[in-house]
Amino acid sequence: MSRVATSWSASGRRASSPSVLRRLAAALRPNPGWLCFASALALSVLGVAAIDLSAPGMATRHVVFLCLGVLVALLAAAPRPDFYRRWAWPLAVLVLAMLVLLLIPFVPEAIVRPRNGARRWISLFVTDLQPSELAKIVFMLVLAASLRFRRTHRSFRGLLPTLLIALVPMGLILMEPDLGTALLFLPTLMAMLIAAGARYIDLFKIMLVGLVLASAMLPMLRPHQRARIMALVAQVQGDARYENDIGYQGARSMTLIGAGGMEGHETNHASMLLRYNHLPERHNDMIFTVICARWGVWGAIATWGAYLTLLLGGLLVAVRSTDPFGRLVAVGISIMVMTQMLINSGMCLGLFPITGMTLPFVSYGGSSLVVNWIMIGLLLCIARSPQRMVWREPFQFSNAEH
Amino acid sequence: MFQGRVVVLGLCVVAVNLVLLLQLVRLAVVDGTHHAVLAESRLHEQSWLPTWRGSILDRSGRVLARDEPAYDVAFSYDAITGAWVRQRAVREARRVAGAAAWSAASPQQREQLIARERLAIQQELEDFWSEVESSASLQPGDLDERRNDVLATVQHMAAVVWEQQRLRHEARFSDEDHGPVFRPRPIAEQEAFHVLLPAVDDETAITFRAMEARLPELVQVRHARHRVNPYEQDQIELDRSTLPRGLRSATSSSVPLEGVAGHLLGDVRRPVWEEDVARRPFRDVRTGVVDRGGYLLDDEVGSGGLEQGWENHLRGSRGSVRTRRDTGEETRVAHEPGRDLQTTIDIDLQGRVEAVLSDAVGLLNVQPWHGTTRLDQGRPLNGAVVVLEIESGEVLASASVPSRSAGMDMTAIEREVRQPWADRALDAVYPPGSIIKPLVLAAASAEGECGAGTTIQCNGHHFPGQPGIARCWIYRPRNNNAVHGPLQPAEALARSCNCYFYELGDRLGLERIVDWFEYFGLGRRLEPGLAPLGAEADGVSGRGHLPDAQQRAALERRGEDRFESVMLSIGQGGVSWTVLQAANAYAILARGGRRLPPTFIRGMRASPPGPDVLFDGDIVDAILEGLADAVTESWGTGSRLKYGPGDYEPIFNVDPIRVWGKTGTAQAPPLVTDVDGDGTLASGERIDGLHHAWFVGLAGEVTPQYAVAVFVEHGGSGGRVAGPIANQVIHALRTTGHLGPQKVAR
Repeated sequence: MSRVATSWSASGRRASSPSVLRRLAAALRPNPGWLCFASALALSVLGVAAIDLSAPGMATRHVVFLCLGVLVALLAAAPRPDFYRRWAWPLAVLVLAMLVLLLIPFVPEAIVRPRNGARRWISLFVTDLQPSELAKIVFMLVLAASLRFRRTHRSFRGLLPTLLIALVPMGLILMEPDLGTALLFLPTLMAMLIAAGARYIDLFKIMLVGLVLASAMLPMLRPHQRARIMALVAQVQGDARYENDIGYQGARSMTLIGAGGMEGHETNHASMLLRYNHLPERHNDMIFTVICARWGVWGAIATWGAYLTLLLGGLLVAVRSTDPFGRLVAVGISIMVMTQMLINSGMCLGLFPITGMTLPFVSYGGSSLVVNWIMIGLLLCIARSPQRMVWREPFQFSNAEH
Repeated sequence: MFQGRVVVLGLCVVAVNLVLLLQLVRLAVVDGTHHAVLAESRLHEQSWLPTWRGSILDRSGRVLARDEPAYDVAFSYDAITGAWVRQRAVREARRVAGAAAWSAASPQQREQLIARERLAIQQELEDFWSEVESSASLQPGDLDERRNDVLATVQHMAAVVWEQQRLRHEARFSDEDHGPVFRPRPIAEQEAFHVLLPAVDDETAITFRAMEARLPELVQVRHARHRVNPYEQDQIELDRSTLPRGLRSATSSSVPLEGVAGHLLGDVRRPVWEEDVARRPFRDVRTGVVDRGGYLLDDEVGSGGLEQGWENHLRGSRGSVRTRRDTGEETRVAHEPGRDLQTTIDIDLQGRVEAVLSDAVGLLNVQPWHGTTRLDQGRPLNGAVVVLEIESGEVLASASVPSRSAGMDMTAIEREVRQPWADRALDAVYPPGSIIKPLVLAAASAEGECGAGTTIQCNGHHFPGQPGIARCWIYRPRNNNAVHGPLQPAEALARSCNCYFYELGDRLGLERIVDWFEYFGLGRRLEPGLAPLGAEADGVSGRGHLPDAQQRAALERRGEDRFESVMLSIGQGGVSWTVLQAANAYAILARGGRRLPPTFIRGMRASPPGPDVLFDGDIVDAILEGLADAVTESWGTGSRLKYGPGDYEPIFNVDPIRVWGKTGTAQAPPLVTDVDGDGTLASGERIDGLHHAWFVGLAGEVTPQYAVAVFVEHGGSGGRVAGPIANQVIHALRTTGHLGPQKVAR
């Protein structure tokens, strides 16, 4: 009971600047956030093993980033959610500035170096920073901050300003171009609107409008994007005609997942299969395939199990939190991670187009790993914030309200 | 309510995840085996092991053609095209610049770095090619020519493959407006090494081995096999004492021979042509199925003769090595060498026959006793000889002049006039002339139109009151329009009276004559396995002409059928045959009507075309009597050479061997030749009024054992021109032990 009291005083208004260590200590108390932490850690460890299998020598670097990620997550867990709410808008301005910087044509290549025709990275000399990764977090913070006490979004017209918040970063990211990351914003937005109490009928209308717009946009797609969609349709139908062409990556991935069977293959054999089936991006976007080839269907189920545990943790954090901002951020984070996971595994399974999206916590890649861990840090931060600290009316609504 | 919405969100995620799970189960469990097999198959690497071609043997097992180990020197396609220069320059530039600087460089900077290296590497490649040229001691330009040949072939292949792929691609995506753009990928030949220096000697191979160690990406020395014909160069000791006067001498002479049995054997060529690949591709483009006996570009393929006709028998199929890439474990399937082919040819006899026909002997050159006035003395003639064993139907020798080897040394104009590539024994067809007469006699007898004692009156011409057409050869103003008078079958044959056979032809009628000619093997290819693989277009080659039902009907409509049957009965009109068909027809006569399709391959023979008709013994005796008289009686057409007035010598001097024979002097089409000797063949340069000379003989100690057919193109008189050659062939049969006291069982 005394520890609860400590926590109380530590995060109470009276203690104006409690030490970081004390906050951390408070955060260490068991709460659903640790479920997320544990899942993320399990997935990261799995990632290290899978990377070591598919691209020997790269795992070490990944472990370094993992440690960094965990550290950053703990740091991120330290402040109160309020802190993030207050900084949401300034951060948004910063991220938008970075996204715009990427698109300015005359920025020297020492700062923005295009890769494969895409301008996604800002060079930080030690490592490259992908502003769109940061944008994912900041977007959720801003959205949560703007949605938390509003009621306007309960009407169709009131949803429009909210949509604008999403469309600005999405548009900038689309122009990089990075379709995959941009599309990630939509399910997150939907989930947060649902959590914030928007009416299903309104969301349904928006989706309908979106679908109509999207199909109207279809002819404007670039030829390679259109070809990919066609290849995907063919691939799902079991049509092999694209498999040496644009469907190559998907076909190879499906073959390897199929070859993994229920149990998978022992390490050497799995690594040979991966190597000589020439799976592209195997330590990266295609890491799920590596898991299936090595540990089979059971491995995939265990992986998905870890994600679902993370989801459960994240949603519990949201439910237990009484802070509307925290609730929305927790829902947003959970859904964003899950969306990314579903799209990535769907892509490996040949159900979604190849978009270059990573499998959170598992895929190789420093900046995405760190950003994912920051999200875990945020969950921890929300989870340990006191539940009884309510200033206003709790974030609740009923369908009767209008 | 918030909790409720959170639950909804969670359930959405779970629902999507369940769909993924279904797909996972579909891939890994339902189709798992299929995917596993496919994935495992990519762990293996397949490479092919060479095979070798079967040998061709003569009837007593002597090797006529065999594969021998040798070295091939092959060069990478990129070296041949020069694309290697850029590849190498890129690597060199990257190495010089260092990995970090290279990845930092912009495309333009990279191009500059590459350009800096390029010149030196270009020079290196040029030096390489001149080193190759000198190491292989090639003529200047020869190497370029070979490189260009490979380039042209490969580019053509690629164009064809890409066009097929593009059409398939378009057909596949025709239902979509914006299917993926077709991008051609290099075909296998564009990534392979190509043999430019086949069958180099050991010393050269060592030089190139050193070069290979230095530049493995440009050159490869391979173990290979090469076709060797042991009788490509041969020497025959020929007794000249039995030759006609003027060619005769007491000493024997040594006759050099080149490419013995060349037409019959054919040869091999490489690289293969596109038609070969189309006929039997190594890998089916559509299904990807591999035929181990199929063709790859550097393969050998038979070209002409037995090498081509028995290609599939001789070829064999590749072996393979399947290597597991991870463990290095090898699974080998041994190659299957091609099977040997034992022919019925006696290479000794074949060589002697070719010697007889050679310029060194002179029988096939225009000679004074030929009586030919329209051709220069000594002019080499074209001709052919076939020797057939009557009892077995096996061909012992089949020679065609000029030989393929001789054709190599000819000038272009000579080649055009003499056509050395044509096989005059088996493929070329000629009007038979009088040698068809015994066949007509046998046919008429079998049809009951005449018997062994039938007398027919020769009045000089066949149709009463029409002395201008269907005349006997003797009925001419310079002979005071002589006639043969009443003749019996044997004498009619020996004198080669036309009127006798006009009458028989008239009695038989067109339909029956043609049927009987077909019975004797006219109008179809006889020999198994020699039908040229690619030459079906030329329907007459190897078969000859016969009026078919349609042509016969047309003749009947015009009322010309009677005249045609009269003409056919002396071997003129719409009939032609090959020298082999002639020998075969006489062998059938000698067997009393029993047919045995002639063969070149021991133990292999086409099935007989139908039931045999055995001729009346009396008529067979009469025919043999006539054929014997023709060469023995002074009034026979094939009995003697005339050197001058009253100066005669028998054509045959093969005692105690008996000879039965029939001469033929057939009207020939004009000889197209360089009459004015200016080295060009102007239109209208030709010699008219020439005849083809035929002699078909049977030889044996008591009864006929061998059929010998001799043909001399535009040679003139059958008896005087072809007869002495037949005489020498019979001598050769004796020398080689087929006839006479030294006869050995073979």
